[in-house]
Amino acid sequence: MNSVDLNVEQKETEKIEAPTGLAVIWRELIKDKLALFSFVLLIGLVLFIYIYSFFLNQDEITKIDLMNIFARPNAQNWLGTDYGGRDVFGQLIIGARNSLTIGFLITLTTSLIGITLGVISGYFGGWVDYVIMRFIDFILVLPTLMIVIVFVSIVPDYNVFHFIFIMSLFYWTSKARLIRSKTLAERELDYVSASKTLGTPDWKIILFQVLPNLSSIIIVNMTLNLAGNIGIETGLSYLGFGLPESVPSLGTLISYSTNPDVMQNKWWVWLPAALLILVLMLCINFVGQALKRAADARQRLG
Amino acid sequence: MVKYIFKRVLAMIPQLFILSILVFLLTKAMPGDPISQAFIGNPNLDPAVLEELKEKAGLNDPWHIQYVRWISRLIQGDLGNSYVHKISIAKLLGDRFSNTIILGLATLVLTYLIAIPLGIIAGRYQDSWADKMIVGYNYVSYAVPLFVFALLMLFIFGFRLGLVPTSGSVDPQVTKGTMEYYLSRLHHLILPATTAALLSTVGTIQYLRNEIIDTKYKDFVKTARAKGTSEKVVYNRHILRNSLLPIAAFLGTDIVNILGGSIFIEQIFGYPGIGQLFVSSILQRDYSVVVVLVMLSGFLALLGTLLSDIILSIVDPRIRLED
Amino acid sequence: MPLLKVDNLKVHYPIRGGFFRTIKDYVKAVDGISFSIHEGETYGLVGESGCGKTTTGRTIIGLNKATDGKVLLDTGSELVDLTKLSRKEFRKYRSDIQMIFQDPYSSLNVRKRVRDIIAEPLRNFESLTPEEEEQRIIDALAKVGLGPEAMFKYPHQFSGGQRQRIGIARALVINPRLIIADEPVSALDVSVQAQVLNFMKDIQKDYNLSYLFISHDLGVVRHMCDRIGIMYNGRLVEEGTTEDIFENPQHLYTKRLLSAIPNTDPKKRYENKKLREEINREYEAKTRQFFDENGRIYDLKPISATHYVAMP
Repeated sequence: MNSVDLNVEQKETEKIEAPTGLAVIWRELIKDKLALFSFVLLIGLVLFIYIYSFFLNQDEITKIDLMNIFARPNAQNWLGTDYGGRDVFGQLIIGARNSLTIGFLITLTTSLIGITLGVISGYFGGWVDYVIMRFIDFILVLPTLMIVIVFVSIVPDYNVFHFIFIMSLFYWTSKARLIRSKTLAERELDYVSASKTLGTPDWKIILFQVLPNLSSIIIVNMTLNLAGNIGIETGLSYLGFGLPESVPSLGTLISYSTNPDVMQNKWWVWLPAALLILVLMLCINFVGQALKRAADARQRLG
Repeated sequence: MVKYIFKRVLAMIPQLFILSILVFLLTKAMPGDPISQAFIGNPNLDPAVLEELKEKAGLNDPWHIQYVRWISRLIQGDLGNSYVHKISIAKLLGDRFSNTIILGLATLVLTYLIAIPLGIIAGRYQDSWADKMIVGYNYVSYAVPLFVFALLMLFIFGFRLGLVPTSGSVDPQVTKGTMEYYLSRLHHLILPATTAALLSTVGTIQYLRNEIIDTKYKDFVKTARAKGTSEKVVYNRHILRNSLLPIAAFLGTDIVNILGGSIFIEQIFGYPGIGQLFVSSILQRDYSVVVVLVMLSGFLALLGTLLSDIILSIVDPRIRLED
Repeated sequence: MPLLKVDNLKVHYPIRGGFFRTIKDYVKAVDGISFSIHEGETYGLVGESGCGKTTTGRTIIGLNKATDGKVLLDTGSELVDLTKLSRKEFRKYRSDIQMIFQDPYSSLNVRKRVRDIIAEPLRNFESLTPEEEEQRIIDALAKVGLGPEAMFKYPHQFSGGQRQRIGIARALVINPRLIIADEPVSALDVSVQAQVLNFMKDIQKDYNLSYLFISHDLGVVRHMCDRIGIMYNGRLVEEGTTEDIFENPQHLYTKRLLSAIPNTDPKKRYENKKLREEINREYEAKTRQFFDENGRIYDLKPISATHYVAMP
């Protein structure tokens, strides 16, 4: 080795850190003011919702109090009460907690299905790929929302897990497509060929070589997906085909607005929930978009 | 080309077939049947009579026999009857279908009326404050759920400001065919169509902006500029001609998305279309209507994607159709 | 007995088309080539891009599937046909054959430390204690002239030449007998090329390695190889010792390829140009003699003990 090489190596020894990954994404995120603000607000909201709901007594809140129907916001009921005299603020917190948790669970299950099938399809190719892709093509042209509603309305003893299951059946396809196309590109790179010639089994190559290189794309996609899934869940709950009645959602509160009188004159029942969804969606999306830009920049820098 | 379209249409048949079986089985699994449902308020009815009625309607046959009976009628154009409304589904659909189509077309036109100018401005004056506002609007409209946005729009413009009616597709007082009638329809259409359009502009704006920014720096545009062509001509003749055409290819996907959103839009704005009919049919267990509506939406979605692919292949000769 | 014998190897890819995606035709990437590599020898596979030389290398090591033919490996006790093995069965022979890739940037996973990159084959084939593993890695790095501190770094902290040496270290660490080097220096600066090539030569002497050296660069091939096969359109047109090929080329295509080597002596510019024109005229005149009526290349015929040419 010549001396020039040595010099270069010594200079670079200090920054021992992978050129990709979470550190870079984090650096990009804090550079983007709006995204950082959204991130802080989001964390604050989520923490508040979960901690506060921990101290709430759900039975107390869902108890009907006919003496206190449609009370305006006051010191006792910060956001007033609904048609059953139930505290809206408490319902808002519990609904938000449920919507967030279930949105998160759906994101996890759809990601698990989508990533697994996408990576298998892209890595192995051939007839496996052909079958999976034709299956996805079929699901993609289905009128998904309608079929989900039909499913929800036919399940006996309908509960939250049914809802998560039904959603997971239909909302993994675009993720599988994305992961497949990225895996196809990754598979052509020589480090995968090298691992094959070094005798590493396929499942190890997928788990320890290919997937880590897709991690930033997966994180971005999951973030944006979380927002999308909360939107779909609350929307379905609004229509009455989302979470079961025992598990109130933000959409349940908003659905009170189907009554024109509530919509017009008792805005405190539904408007806070609508605005909370709006704020949550915007925050998650701004963070997600910032992550997306960060991940792209990484690719450009190579 | 004709051969390609023919093949694509042929390929739709198995898809529609699988969809029909899936939907048929699903609705068969729905709890309660329309006949029991129809007599639910009638405690005097003898269960034996009910059973006889069911037998007569063929509801006790094995599912595949019921399916074959239903699908062969469907192919002949007989959509069947609604048990709840006691009229043929074709009749039930009639007005609602045209309502949905009118709402969809209005949404589509408004989408392009908003998206194309904004996309061009954002692309042409990249990084200006106008561009930043448009990009911001795009982020927001991508993030906001349709039903929340629709409710807020209805609350503000319908209830608070009272500018537009809060429900229905036409004022029941006016007589059909008069000028008043059409104005009333338009009046009822404005808010739902604008609401849906404001959120469906994302794809077009983003595409147009990126495309114009890309084209701006291509060599043929630089050449045109270097020859002394005016900015106006550079944009109208060179850039827009290249960027605008592919938008047509989004048409199919836009149609599919707008149809999907119509369930929310029609429900919230009380607009009597097929989306609203779908929700009420589910709640009333009117499953012969549910099946037809799902099949119809599936068919329209397939047609939409086919339309997109065909337009794309006409517009962009680089995409060669497999023969 | 040669270490590796390639016998009438064919790699054909189907072209599918039509509604049912039926097979319409084949791309014959490799169309019946035979050669053998002996212990301690460097065999050069030369040709223009797209002639099938890389496909040949990748098929020998099992990255592509062979359509027909044999790749026989002499394991010392038996002859194994590598093309007939499943990926699982192939594992047993991985430590005999290794590969060096063309692009030193994409062939190392950017997320792994050099230590983990080099340890990958060790962890697959040998169960070592962490201390033993570390010693093996340090040894492998030393073989390619890198210090032990390189272990803890990531690939992006190295230059292209250093990365290629890491790739060589990774191939060497399980002591293979044959290394397939697919254009190992063509992605590197000319100044670094010689350095890496000399490393490869030194290592070969020390460990009695065999190389299958795939390249389009005749200068590099002349420097590295004992015997050379010239490939064109998926077939061998000429094979011989380096001397046979460079001093006594017989096939039209070989002559044409050799005439394309740039000569740095400006005084000979006119002469070279005339020579190239002459070969080009000969090429056009005699095409029928070297290709059959379908444009296919003939089978190899011996013209001396070591020298083979594709002629009718």
